[in-house]
Amino acid sequence: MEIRDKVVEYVADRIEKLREENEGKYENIAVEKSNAMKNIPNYFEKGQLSKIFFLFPDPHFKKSNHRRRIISKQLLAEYAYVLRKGGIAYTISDVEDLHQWMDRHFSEHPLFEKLTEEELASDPVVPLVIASSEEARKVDRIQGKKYLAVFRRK
Amino acid sequence: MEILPIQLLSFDPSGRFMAYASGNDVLVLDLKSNLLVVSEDLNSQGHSDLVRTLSFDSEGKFMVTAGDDKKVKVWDTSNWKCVASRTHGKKISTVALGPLNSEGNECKVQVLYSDKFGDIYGGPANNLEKTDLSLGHCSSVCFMILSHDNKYLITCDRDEKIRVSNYPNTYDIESFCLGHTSLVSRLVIPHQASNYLVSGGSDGTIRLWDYIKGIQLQTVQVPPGSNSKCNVSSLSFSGKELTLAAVAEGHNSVLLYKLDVEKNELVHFQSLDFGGQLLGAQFGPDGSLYAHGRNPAISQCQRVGEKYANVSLSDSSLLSSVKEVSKEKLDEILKAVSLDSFRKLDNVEFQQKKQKWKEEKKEQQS
Repeated sequence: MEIRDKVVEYVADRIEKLREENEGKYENIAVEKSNAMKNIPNYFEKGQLSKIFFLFPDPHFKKSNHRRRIISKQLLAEYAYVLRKGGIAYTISDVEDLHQWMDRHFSEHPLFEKLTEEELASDPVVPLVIASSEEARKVDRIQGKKYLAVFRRK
Repeated sequence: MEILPIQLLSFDPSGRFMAYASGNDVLVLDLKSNLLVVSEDLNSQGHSDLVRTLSFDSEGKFMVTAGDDKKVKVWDTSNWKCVASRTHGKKISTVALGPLNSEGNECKVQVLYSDKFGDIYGGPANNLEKTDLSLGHCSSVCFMILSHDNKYLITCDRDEKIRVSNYPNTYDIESFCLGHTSLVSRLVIPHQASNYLVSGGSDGTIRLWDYIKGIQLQTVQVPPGSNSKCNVSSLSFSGKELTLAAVAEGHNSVLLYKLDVEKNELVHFQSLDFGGQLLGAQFGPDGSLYAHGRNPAISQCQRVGEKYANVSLSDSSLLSSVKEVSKEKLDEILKAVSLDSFRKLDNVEFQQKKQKWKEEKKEQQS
């Protein structure tokens, strides 16, 4: 769910290309122009999702913009609603301050519990979260540090 | 000079008091003696701007009022003293009172209030110094109520959403009731059929829901036979029977519906003319209907056979309690009370407003 027009067009083009170059594949991905913060309950039913990813979200550094951060106490209730029991929320950021913010908010929320090191090690999705997205590769190029925090919906 | 309207009206659960707001004033009528309660606090510690919301807790111990002066005030119903007051950073749109799990002698009632950002805060009714963020919508919350068993807090917002959260664990959302196509302005749950929720919105509809499951059972266009989008400004269920009274802004008749639980539908059976500018209608403890607004300030209606009929309120103390203001001030207040001031502008209105800003800016520059 993306609110910026240009990005929606870009992602739609990328998906189109991937589908052309790989027949029959990439049918399970789509992009839609919408405001994720407002419309998640319009798109997903209760407990519909098994995984939700927050990959290098916008840090919104200014204090007055903190309410625009994608992770907030208010929105966590909605993420807990669309995630099924046992569903996993992955967060990763190259901004330590934002990582601590996300970690703190998820940890304080009664419906989420942090995954242990063993659980992280045995999850095949974790290495992909750390390395596979374009933003992740960008961070690698500038040799930045990545901070991971993964939580289970209780 | 013009008389102010009565924009809010509510009864305490025991049926002893009728509280109403007219402009910035909150007044309480003792229904037993039929006299206005005389309270120094209500006079001197009241609100300094339009009172937008008024509510009692389910035991009738406290009343909370709030509005455009950004203050939330809690009143003890035994002596009408103001026991707590808090100044918030933004105007308050809606309040509710719910039970609070607390130890020993501490207050058992919690005040919940919401602002323009859609954040809902809660704190003990007798001490609002420290309040916590209970939940938040991503858009202004227009109304909130607790279910009669206090298990759910139901909130609705400007983004057409109705959210049913567990109570007191409001971080745990039970369901969403999605269907309205414009701001949702009012919510009500009938006492005798408490699995239903009725909502009204600025899309000119009243909707019937099985709210715990988030299923829409029926949509009714108001007023009946109309196609235009009007704001639903008031909803109330009778405590004695399954009758709903609804008020649509701009239409000066109380719309009455029967709730048929077999067919899961609301059936319109009467449009009762108010005779003046109608702002709301609430059922009283004795089953009679109190319609309020302007000219007359209040009109009492009673069930006569199958229908309701007007029985004017000849109570002079009540009618004289309503103040007079200049015409400009009255127009200002009526505009502020209207839900048009909350509604999101549709495309046409937004373009017109944009045009106006541009022109004003040009004027300022030249």
